[in-house]
Amino acid sequence: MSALDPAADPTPTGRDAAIDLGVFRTNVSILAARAVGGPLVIDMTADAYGHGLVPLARVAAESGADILSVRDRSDVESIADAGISIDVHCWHTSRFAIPPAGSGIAAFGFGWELTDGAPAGIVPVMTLSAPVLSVKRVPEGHGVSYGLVYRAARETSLALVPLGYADGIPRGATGSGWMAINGRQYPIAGRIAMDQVVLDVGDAAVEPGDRAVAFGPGVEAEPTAADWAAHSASTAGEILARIGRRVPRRYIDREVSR
Amino acid sequence: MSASDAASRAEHDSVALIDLVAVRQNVARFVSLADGVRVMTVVKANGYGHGAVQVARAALEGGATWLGVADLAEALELRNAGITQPVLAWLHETDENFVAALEAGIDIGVSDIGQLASLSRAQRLAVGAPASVHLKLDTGLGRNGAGEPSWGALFDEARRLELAGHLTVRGVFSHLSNANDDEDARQLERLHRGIESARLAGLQPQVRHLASTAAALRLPATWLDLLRVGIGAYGLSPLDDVPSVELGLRPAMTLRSTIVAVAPSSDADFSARSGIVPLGYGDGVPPQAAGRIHVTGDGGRLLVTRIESDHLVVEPVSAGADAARGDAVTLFGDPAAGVTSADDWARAADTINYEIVTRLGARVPREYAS
Repeated sequence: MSALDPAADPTPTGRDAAIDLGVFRTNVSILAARAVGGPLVIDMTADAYGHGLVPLARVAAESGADILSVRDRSDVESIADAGISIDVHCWHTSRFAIPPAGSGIAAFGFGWELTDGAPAGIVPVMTLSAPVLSVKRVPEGHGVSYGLVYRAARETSLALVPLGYADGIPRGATGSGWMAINGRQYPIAGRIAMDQVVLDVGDAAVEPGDRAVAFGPGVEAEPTAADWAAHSASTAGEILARIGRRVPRRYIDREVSR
Repeated sequence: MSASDAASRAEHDSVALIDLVAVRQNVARFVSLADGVRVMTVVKANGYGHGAVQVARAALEGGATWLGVADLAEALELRNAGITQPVLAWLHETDENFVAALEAGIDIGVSDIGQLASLSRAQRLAVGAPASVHLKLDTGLGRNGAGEPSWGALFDEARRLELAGHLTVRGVFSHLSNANDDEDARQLERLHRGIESARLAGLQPQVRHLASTAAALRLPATWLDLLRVGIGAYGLSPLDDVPSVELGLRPAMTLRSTIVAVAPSSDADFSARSGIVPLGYGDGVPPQAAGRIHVTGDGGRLLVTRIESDHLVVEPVSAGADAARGDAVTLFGDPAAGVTSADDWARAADTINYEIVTRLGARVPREYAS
């Protein structure tokens, strides 16, 4: 079974970071078309911002990138060992050991921090989701999570989702974060914990096993990594780079037409 | 320098030193405090970033007799490392396959009747003794655990499966909100009510547990049969206003790195230089702390001015201080040693010490001192 064949890919049942190599390929191609008069450098630090260095390096090399930028010598070796042929710049062991100025993370779907966003056609590559583990009916006034800072405004249903700050959901987004289930948005109720969050789903027909989407391209009601960054005084790059080790990365390759 | 030397240098410019002596002593502190009540050490989320297996072994040496994790994968990681002591896992997927966990002798925290059914199915496929179950009751936290209206049905079904030989209800437990003493007391009262109701249904839970670190330190009435000690085992305080040292605890993690390059300072007042340290938010350093946290270098106190994906930038904060290539930098550690603490980082990043250590990335090597 090919890891890149979506038809052969089992439906995930647990935490899941789906990384769409087709989207990444298109993003790099768009950047390559714009990089007239200079090499296209893709910032692949932080394990390609949490996407996984080698699979992304292979697609970048095939899609018009000229240079990949990494920190560690071991990253250079990983790319070479995988048989990927592309220039890799490693600032940490270079003569001057100065990291390059931020080249942005447009290849992963997000704009430059201090400009007005990503070039047209750029789409986020990663979708983070997890199953609803339980749905529980509680009365008005029921508290939720540490400190009981959240109280149900009326009788409601609480959906438990196994994504917490150990998995990369920033605790600082407590009070403003939300996720999507079945194309609808639900607020996080109470403090974001290490392993889990609770969504207040009201009277919606949410069932255990339904997928809660923490972020994605933002096309089906789900937030984007940039939304989480706004909730937690951070950047989309950090949200992506800090997805934890308990979340398996799953590579898909959908046809992209734009 | 050969390529492998360069790789080695790059790998080890940064290191998280984990003091397993501190873990042993912290756990022993709770064992001594508990005065006969058993102690579980919670090693979920890779041992709060410290390394689950190493911390588990140290905790057992320190007197813990139970280990706690969130999910079955974490439980099996401990078994695969050869750890044979009781392990409880309490966060499961819908239709979770419990067969491997039962064969590995993992105690299962159960929050609803559906999980009892999954366990019962798995028990018929698994080789081994009946499933050992801890029923989890929601006494007010609103997360997992059975809500009070469903307790009766849960206890009756658990008793039916117990009589059928599929499982044994070994424990009943809940988790506190730590909102305030009144709320915690109400939760304790509800748990007692639940345990009484379980007994009336014919169950005989031997291990009743509620307290985690904060309640272990503050509320002896909540101790029951077992303390679940997480953050305290790592030497960090769960209480906003009380540092580790006042609790008799010692932080186990020290995060060190090296200034690998220097650049002209942005501050014209000192003709000092800024240093580049190869740890960034991709390694788990919270960018919200930039400009708000000082660290300790060989040349004195340094302000962290920027935190990028794969590095951070430090600048000397006084005319006498300096940042030179090759200088060691301690980002955080035991404040008794005069360095910045995880608590300081938590304040600077508007979060809690738990998140600072737990989110330290997999690319930072852990080195263990035992």
